[in-house]
Amino acid sequence: MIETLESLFRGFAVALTPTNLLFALIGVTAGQIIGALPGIGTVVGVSLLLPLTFNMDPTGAIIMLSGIYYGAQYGGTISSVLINMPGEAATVVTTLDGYQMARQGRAAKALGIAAIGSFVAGTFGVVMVTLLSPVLTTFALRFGPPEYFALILLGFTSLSAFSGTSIAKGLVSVIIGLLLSTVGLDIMSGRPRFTFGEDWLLDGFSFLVAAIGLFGIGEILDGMMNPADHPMIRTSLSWRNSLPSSVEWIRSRGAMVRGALIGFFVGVLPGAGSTLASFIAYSVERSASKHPEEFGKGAIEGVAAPESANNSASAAAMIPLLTLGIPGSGTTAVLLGGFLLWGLRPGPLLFTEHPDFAWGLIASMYIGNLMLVVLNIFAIPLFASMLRVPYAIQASFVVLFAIIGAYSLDNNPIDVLIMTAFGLIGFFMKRLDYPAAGLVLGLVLGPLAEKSLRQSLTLSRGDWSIFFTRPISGVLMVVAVSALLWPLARWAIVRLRPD
Amino acid sequence: MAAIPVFLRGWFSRLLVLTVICMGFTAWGGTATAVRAIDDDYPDKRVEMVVPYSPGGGSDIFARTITSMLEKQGIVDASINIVNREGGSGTIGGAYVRGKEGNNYVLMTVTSGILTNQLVLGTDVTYDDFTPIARLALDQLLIVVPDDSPYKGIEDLIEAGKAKPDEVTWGGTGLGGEDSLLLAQLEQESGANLNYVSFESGGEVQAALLGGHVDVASANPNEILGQLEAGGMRALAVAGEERLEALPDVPTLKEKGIEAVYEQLRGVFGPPNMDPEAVQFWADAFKQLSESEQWQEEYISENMLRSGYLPPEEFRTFLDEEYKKVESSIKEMGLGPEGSPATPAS
Repeated sequence: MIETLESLFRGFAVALTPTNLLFALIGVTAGQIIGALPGIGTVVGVSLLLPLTFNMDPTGAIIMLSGIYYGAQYGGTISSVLINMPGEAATVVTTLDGYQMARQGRAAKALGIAAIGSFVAGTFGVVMVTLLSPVLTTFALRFGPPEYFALILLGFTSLSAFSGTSIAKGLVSVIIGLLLSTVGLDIMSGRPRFTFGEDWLLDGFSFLVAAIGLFGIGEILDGMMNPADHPMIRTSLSWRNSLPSSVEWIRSRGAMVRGALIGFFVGVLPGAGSTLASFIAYSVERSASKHPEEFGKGAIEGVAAPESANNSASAAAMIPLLTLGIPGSGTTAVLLGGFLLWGLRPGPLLFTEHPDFAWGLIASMYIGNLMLVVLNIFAIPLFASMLRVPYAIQASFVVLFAIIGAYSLDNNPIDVLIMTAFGLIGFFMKRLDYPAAGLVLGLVLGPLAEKSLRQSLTLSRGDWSIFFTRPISGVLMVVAVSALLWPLARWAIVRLRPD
Repeated sequence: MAAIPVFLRGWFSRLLVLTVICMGFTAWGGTATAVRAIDDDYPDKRVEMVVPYSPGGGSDIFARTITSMLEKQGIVDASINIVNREGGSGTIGGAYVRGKEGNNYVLMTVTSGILTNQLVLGTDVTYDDFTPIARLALDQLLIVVPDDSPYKGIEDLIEAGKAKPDEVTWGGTGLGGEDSLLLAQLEQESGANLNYVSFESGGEVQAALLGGHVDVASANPNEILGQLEAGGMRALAVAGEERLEALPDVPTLKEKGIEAVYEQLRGVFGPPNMDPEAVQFWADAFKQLSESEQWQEEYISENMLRSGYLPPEEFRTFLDEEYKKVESSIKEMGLGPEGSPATPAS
């Protein structure tokens, strides 16, 4: 313990040098902006800046790049709340209640609780990274394909949290998402599936492109239909208003704690990630809430939980990266590439061979989170003032951002067309009351579920008992299956009751 | 819902506007660079080096290292701009460079992936579309097990693979990729039979091996050396022509009587019909680079590769031979884009 603290202080000595402080500030500010712009996700953001660090000091470089990574988790909230367009994969679920809060004139509150939750959970994550990295590494390694499959199945239970009135419509949405997720390279055999010989379909449908279309464009189209539903929103711009009231604080407190814990344990697993964490946190929060009926209609917990989860998950993702040299997500994979580019060898010896690098990074994450919460709280009135712009003008800008966002994801013009198509789908889904979040859920979790299912069955040579005979997987399976079946059973009971 | 027909009228014009905006974006893509003749001061303008994979990957590090060394050592004066055009396992970048026919200012990094893409994915981007410039290095594969594994040497693994066919699990990335090609060769040469489990990335394979979810795995030396040094994993054999400098105690498969070699190439291609003078210019530049001390120390040793310069013609011959080799392995595995039997491992 004493040794850990000594190392941490040494890390602070590294992170607090003026240059490294500046790098942290540049990183988190860039992350904030990258996160806020729909489409330009963290992977793209970090990839864009990685080449610039080729000749930099590795510690400064990692401080800056990881600042982008966790900074984007803060920034991603902004467009989710204000224009219903997720800036990041992990903030898709924030749109559900965040945007409704904005429609009710509580945008500043939503952004405020997201910033506070992010800070609390992010800092909790870094504390855990500081104290428990070795233990958690052992925990993370116990997750093999069957455990991942069970965990992802648990992620699917969040379906009932989105479905609102009709579980059948929710199921239809998820299944459409799952079907779309099969397009592209088959991850197990490396062969193309449903690509009709088109090279641009090899990578399948990017789920961010789909989300931008479904949520952002879908909402705009719907708004064009009913301009009367979109009066100018009276949003208070005083920054005091972005702080939660005591009632809201009490409601969000538990959500933050639960979100932080779920986010952390899901985030530490390489191969799960902050998106899955945010979905699970949202669904758990709805089950734990005394007001489940308010979810999807502007419940503050519906913002606090996923926003806390994605931040502690992004801190947790640093554990496998630093202790094993194993990246857990697209962004940490790019960071790992950075290690090699800077001439560091990733692996278990990183902490002993390059303590300044590892501990400097950890210390910088405490500082970075502090910078972000200050930056966010004070910038909220500025962001919220966007809503004072007349809807017609706002809508044009949303469309513009959607196009730029979809294009910039891969510099691929076809993505713009795909995004537009998803916009139309999103519009009809909204009109017909099918939850678009279900489609996104299927699209995100589909490939993960398929991969871990097929890996598990390859390992067991076709024996399904592998999911139940391993302890972690067994417990998760039982929880997931009962959570999945419960709404169906309840629906059947209600439907079939003779009266 | 009754409102739909009414709204469609006004709505269609809006959709049209949106579509037109999108089309405008699409049109932006194809601005061509003027092609110039080769003269003494070639390359007299910025050269574009396309990396068909993402930043931070092996090809990206390769591209950044060679361009920075070419500049530092004063071999090439012109500035070289690295552009990552990732996607579709390298086919997106490949298609882009193929479209730059006759352009002497575009280069592309190439790996063995271009051969397997053609064979497994059935993409129409093939290696003979391009102008080979130089092969520079070879990346080998190590066969590794967790430290507490019962397999002390490669013989133990082969034996187990013969005694209990399909029971020992081997982790690697995508079927049809380098790891599975190595296993196919190994099985063919030794008569062992292992159960191949494919993962999405090298990192996932490592995590599965360390967690004991798979018994054995293959990986490139530079991604695994950290684990070997820390003692969490042991290397049973290297699938190269010779032992690795950094791991002198690890035998090659050949030494153990198994004729299995899988080395991934790293080289540079030009677009179709590049001027022979330009090809010669770059081939000479890369030859000079590959003979430098900095190259050996900062790239080859650092990343544990084998240096292996080949000039354009020999590079082409090498590719032809490699293509035949990979083709037979892929057929053996029952892979291929169409008309082939179902994937055995799934």
